[in-house]
Amino acid sequence: MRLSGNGLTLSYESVTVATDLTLEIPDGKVTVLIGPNGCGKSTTLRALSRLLRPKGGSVILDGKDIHSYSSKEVARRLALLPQVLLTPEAISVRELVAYGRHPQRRSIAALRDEDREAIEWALAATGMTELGERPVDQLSGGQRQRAWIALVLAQGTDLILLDEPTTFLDVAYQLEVLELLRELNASQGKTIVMVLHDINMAAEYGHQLLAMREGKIVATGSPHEIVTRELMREVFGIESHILRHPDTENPLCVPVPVPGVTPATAAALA
Amino acid sequence: MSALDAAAPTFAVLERRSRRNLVVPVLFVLAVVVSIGTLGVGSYRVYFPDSVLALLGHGSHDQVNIVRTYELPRVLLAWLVGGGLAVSGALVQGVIRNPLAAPDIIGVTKGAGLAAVAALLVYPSTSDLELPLAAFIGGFAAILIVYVAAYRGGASPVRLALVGIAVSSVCETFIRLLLIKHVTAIGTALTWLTGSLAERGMTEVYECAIWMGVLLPLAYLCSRRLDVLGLGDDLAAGLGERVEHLRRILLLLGVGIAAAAVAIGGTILFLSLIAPHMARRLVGARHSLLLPASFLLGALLLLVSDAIGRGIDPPIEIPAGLITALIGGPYFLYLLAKAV
Repeated sequence: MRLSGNGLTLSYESVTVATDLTLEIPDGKVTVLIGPNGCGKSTTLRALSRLLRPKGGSVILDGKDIHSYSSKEVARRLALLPQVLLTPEAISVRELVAYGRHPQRRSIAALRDEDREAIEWALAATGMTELGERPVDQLSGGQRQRAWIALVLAQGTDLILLDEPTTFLDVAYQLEVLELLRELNASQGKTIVMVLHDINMAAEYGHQLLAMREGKIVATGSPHEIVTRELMREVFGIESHILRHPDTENPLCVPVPVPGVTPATAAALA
Repeated sequence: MSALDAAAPTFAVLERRSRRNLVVPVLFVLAVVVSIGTLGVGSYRVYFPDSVLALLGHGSHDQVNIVRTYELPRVLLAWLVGGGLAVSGALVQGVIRNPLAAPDIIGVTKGAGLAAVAALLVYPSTSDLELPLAAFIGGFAAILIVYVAAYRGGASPVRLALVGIAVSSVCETFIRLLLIKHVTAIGTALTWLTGSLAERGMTEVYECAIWMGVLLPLAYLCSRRLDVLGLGDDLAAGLGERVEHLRRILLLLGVGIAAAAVAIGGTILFLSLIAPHMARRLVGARHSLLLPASFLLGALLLLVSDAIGRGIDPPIEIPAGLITALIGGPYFLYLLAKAV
């Protein structure tokens, strides 16, 4: 196991977001963090990728505290795709993906052969080779997200962390992105850690689910262990039916509508 | 048909890319041509090719003297000051991630202006060598105040811009106060505030060249880090950059370059804003092309502005800063109309 967190206390300035988090990221698996808004799942991902220094506890990467590495060293072992991405103007997909080689390159040196290979491989792996010369701002939502994933892949790390990689995408593009990640995990053995909003997508694509609520990890386990009526009630505060996906047998959470859950609105509308 | 379809965008991209790579050499040649062409413009007109001959030491004593002592330093300073201002604008725009940002906006220009005016008016004995130093210190003090005031576990681009505007306004207020209190002696201060390359000699050229010779190559070395910063703070951090540290270094570089330029040329407005913006339209957002293109466009704009200023109604000189403002104002409005 290359990446784990030990007794983490995470906070932004004086606001504590999570306390006493202990988690292990199994190698070669897809781990998905789920939980309601503000439960600290994105913050946890930031701590795991060295973007946030924990107030207490430590993140262990390859046997050492992640903060004992330089940021460049971390970038050569672990790649992060954040939620907020700024697309530069007038830049081609290949140029964008080339920035993935930044941690390996010296300041103004030209691309070396190994950089080129990594870039071409990342484009091929994400099915973007054909679109390599296309300006990024002219891509569809799914293509653009694939271009960003290609950038992260070009970093050449086995550990890939993604913060809500499907958030702004239509459902077809969500599938496109998640299938790509599953494929990378299956064929390349990449360890993937991601935050997802959609419980059913998490159940479908995750090997291990971490359910968080109010800065704590409530439960860790396989989709069948996590997506249960009791845990959905505890984690999300919803009543639900748990079905089986007709094709994949994975659990499906179908929320039960609760009339009058917002009494004030109901009263105002009456 | 399908082969044609596939080929069409490839050609467009190839054309665009080779066009971009041509921009810097073309601008360089253009700037050299304009430098030679405007060398003799002014109250003692020495035209090309006499101007070049005079530069090389052929011609009447007067001609040689004028071209070498008065004209040459101005042309060289137009390169250093104009180019420097433009590069500092490109740096600051990259750090703040807003094409409408510039050293003018984050307080550097006004801070330098205030310090220089204070030096000129409160201590009239200030020498020509001390004035740039005052401007330099003022510019740095301003950005320091802006950075500290904007800092909250990191200085976000938006806060830098907002605090910068506030600090600029305060500096502007004090500049006016000083001008009002020292009404009798404001001539030099006003010229300096408008920005001008008049009455500068080779000493100023050397001073400026030393600063630019160190800072501009350093800025160029940071090109790709600027690109990476442009992808967002978190991704830049994920790619191994210490974002806050990098932002500080780049701001410091940008401010250093701006202060060195302002210290010699005065507060030449709009140049640091519009030159990088024009450059971005020509070569795109990658800083390895954007920084050189900005430098050359800044040099060109100031060369032309200075030549217009001294050639339009000799022997009266119109400060180059007024001309850049005349060009820059409308361009700025056009930007606003397009971008916002």
